[in-house]
Amino acid sequence: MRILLVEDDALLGEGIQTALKRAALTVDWLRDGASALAAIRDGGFDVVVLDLGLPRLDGMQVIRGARAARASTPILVLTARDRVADRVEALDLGADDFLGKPFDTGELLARIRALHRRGQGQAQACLAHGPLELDPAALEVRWRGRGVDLPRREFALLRALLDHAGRVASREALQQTLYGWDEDVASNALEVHVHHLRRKLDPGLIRTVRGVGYALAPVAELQAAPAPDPTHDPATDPAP
Amino acid sequence: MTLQPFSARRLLILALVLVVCAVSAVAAGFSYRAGLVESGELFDAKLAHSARVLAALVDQPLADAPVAAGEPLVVAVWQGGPREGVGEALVSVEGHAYETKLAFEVLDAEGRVVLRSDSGPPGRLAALAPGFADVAIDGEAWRVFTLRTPRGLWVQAGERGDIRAEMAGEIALGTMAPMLLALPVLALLVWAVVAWASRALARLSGQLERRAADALAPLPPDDVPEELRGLVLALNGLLGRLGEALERERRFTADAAHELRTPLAALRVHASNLREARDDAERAASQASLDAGLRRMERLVTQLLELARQEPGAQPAARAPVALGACVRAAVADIALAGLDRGIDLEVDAPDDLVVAGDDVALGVLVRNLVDNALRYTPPGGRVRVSLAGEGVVVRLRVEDSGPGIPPEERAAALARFHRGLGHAATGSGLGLSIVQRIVERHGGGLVLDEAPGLGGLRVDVRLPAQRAG
Repeated sequence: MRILLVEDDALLGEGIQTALKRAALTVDWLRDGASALAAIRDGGFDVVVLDLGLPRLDGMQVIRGARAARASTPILVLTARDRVADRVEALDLGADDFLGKPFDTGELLARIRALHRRGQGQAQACLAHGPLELDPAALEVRWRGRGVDLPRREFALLRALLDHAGRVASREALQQTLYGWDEDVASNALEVHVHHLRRKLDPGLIRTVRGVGYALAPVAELQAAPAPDPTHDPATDPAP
Repeated sequence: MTLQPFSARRLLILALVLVVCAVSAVAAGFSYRAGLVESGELFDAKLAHSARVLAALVDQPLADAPVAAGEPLVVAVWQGGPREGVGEALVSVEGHAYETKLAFEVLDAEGRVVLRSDSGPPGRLAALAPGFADVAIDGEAWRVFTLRTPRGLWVQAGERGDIRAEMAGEIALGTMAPMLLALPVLALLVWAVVAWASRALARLSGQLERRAADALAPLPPDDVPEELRGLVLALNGLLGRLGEALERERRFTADAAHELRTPLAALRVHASNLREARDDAERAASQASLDAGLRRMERLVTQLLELARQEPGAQPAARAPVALGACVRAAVADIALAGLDRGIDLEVDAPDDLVVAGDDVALGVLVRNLVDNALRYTPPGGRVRVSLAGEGVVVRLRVEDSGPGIPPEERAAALARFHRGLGHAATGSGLGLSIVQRIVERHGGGLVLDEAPGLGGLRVDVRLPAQRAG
């Protein structure tokens, strides 16, 4: 899941970025309203965490501009303004949620997950796909009832695939979800992560759709007898 | 009337009653005296006239018809009237009730009574000497006029004195009565007017009493008596000033609360990150951020307090001679280390002979904030120059740096509370220049932001009124 964080306070922004990254989220951090609005218009974010008191363009203007440009990304407003009128205005302009400073990090993460869930049209907090279960809050993955420890990036990839369950996730979309702007990405990084997931969970779980991207195998197929394939070699796995 | 709460109404009514009574008494006294004198004159004339008429009528007949000695002729007066009463009550077809208070006598040359009215005493009325005499008969005061006829008879006409006193009394009462009758009316009037005026006062205090502590709208000045308008206007002035002070305070508190939330949020996030850290490197990073956040919080709170002390209306600036040179050196010494650590070349040129009138503590805060700002926004290896110069009646303090400066369009906003420039490492509280400006204002000085020509960054010129040495 990729988050756009817009916060002009260096110390606070840095802290939130650290917390979000630890929750296996990909974070891009901008410090002024004008560039935030441009980024939201360009798309590619699952949730925007937006401070209201921003230089160059006020947070309210960012919300207005984003909604005027028909960007539907969920926006979580983060602000020191505590008047009800400010909250009402922000929500009426098109913000989806509101969190007053100072806030609990756990609550911020929970609200981000809830916004993302709603954006995906899900109601359950846990994502499931046949024998695969993923709890975004606890950062836990279970495969056929067995807990599997995944590093942050692999967890994020699996989650993105679950968000796209029943469809094919494009390479670009997955890459965007996994890496921020300021991160250097090796050209085969995605393939390596897919390989690791297949190894740790099930070789048949992720299908390669050539020229497009990846998709999870249908539930019916996964529920049939598992066919582990320990001889699978990532080097021979073709890039999509 | 006791010495309990002072009541204008009671005092007024009491004063009114006393004055009216005193005036009535004095007026009655004058009337009584005037009545006595006037009636005396009138009655004396009538008395003399009666004696003269009597003399003219009886002189010849009595002289021609000698009367048996010791057997005077007695004329009976009408005695049927009431003893008391006024006006028509005393009158009848037969006579007047007061006839008994009048008497006459005629005596022969030897002093024997030859004719008398039965209202008088059997003997002579007064000594046989011509003219008026005041005598006492049977314990009553009488006024008697004595006349000698050409044929040697004595005619005496007398009148009881109480008639005169009664008349003078009537006149005096007539003078006093209207005043005494008017007294209750006047008292009622005063009571009503005072009540009306106090109702306006009561309404006013009611309005003030019902108010919430922060309802500082002015009182309507139109529905009070003229005499209270001054009070209402003065109260409104006070309410206005209170309102402004309260509003300033409220704005300041709101701004401060707002500005404290973001640093607090940062502290909370870093504390949470520290708790969740998975290895020493993460722990160290969070700890460092937490420390930085605490330092920032500390500075923000200090500056908020400094700003609160410099708020307009907080207290007037002390006016003592301050040697600005020493003040500048002391302030710079306090904070120079931070700049030296970052390799900033800090240059101070502060001559000793420049003295301004002001508050040395506030001026120290001013210099510290300016130099702190300059050091904060100047990149490592940059330059900061602090200089002091006399310019006639003012002393100019100049702080220049080689930092990014403030674009001309942002300079006015930079003085506003909590303004932070864009694109800097936002470690400032946005309060420094506000504090400086408040202090400059309180000292009656001026503040100009400009570009530093030599260094390329910001140049701040503060001009303060100089104090003549000695």
